[in-house]
Amino acid sequence: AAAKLSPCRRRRNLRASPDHPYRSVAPGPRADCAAFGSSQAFTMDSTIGMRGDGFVLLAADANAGRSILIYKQDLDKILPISENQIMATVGPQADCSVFGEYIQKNMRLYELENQINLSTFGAANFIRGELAKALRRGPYQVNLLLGGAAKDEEASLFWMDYLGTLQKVNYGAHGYASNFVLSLLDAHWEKGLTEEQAIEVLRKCIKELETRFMIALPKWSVKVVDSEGVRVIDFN
Amino acid sequence: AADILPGTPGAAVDERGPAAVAVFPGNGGPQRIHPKPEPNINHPNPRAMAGPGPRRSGARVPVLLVMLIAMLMSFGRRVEANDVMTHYGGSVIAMRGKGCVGIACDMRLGAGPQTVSTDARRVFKVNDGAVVAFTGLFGIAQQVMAVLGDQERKAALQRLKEPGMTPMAVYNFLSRFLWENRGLPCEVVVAGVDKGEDGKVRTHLCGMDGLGAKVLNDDFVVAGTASQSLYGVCEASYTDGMGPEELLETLEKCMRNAMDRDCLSGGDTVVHIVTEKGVTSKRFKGRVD
Repeated sequence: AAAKLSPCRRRRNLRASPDHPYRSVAPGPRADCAAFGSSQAFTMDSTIGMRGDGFVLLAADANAGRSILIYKQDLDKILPISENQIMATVGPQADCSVFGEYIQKNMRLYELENQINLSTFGAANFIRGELAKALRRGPYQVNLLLGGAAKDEEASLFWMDYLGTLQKVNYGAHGYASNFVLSLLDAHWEKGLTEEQAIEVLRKCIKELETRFMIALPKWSVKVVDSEGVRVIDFN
Repeated sequence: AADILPGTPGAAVDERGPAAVAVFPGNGGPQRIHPKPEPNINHPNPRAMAGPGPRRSGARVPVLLVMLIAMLMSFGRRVEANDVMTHYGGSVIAMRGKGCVGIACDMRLGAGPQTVSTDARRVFKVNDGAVVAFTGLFGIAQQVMAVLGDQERKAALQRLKEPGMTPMAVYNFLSRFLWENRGLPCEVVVAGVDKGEDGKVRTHLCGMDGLGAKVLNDDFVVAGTASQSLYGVCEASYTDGMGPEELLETLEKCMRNAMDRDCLSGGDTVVHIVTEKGVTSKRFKGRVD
């Protein structure tokens, strides 16, 4: 799906390099490594996701803050991008909200134009394409987990990097939680988890973070998506 | 005369000697001890056109400060320009047999040392006669796969036959595409078979770096994080004129042994054999470590 709505106030100059926004001459071959060498912006948020029997569970911490200050502890970072797909974003909140809304509105435009929703795989490729296209213009520093369970397809979870890497996974995590939680998911995840089992595995992961992770993440927003839609789980 | 500065020609010379002369406000500066050498026309001064010399040690201070700041700022996961090619991991071999070619790759995708997925698809089947495998930045690989798919569809429509692109067309297109995009952080391996004008099956093997520099080999091409081990093990195992089954075994063995020596490659090995009949694939279980 080609994105029809362009994000507001994006640079028109497609040859602009990330470190010189209005440059009209293309930089040399190695200068683009600056785009790929851009470090992931440092944020403390995390997200965990896993696939179950006909549903996908996504959890994201609800902290919003910068450096040592927490602005709020009830921020919902899991966006519904269509009736049967949700996306959990990790990164600086500016990029996450701009990119998230951009994807939401383009998905809705596709639905209005074509009278049908994009499949989860289609949505994943669309989002990946937008991240990749923005890479040389000015990357969106957003890592995300996309989960979807549309009516005629099986539940699928996609892991995406801010550089435009897309992988279909059974479970995944972004942020600092990934260092603690992936091994737990290796041990406890199995194919065909029910919703209660998935929430139990998530509780184990969050308990591990409470024990061993330096940053306190007291509240989490947890959502489940299946063929009937998106449900919020009252986790806390 | 008294108003001429000491040291200038014609000035009064102090008989007390150089130690008695005040250095400031100036006695003409350091005095030349050795006579000035004659200019040698056979060996002109090589430093005549040299610019200003290297920065003096006073400049080390800001460099250290910058390094310190960079270290302090590097809390999050970094993809540096140097290690963008090894950040995600992955290795690929393409090898030639008799009337067939094979591509083997691993299936690990990581974010640095952390494994994200053991099911990464590195190989793109362009058509029944050519397959392309990518290492390096995985997002770029996926983007180029999409571009290749579009190109193949366009070529098939233009030529009104399948396959649209021969293996030579694939690697030439990729080489041009990479160069025109000012180099992309990936390494590409193309393998394919087609029929020449005389009806004989021709095999093609091509490796490329991120700028599109092609190398066309007769025996094998390797790319990726385990490439150093792969060169050795492929060189030892390659024989001329392998059939498809023998090629499959050789590729799997080479890949398995090289992955044992590389922490950034691992997981299952998938081997695709391209013959004139098409592409067959086989997946072998492997360890993720």
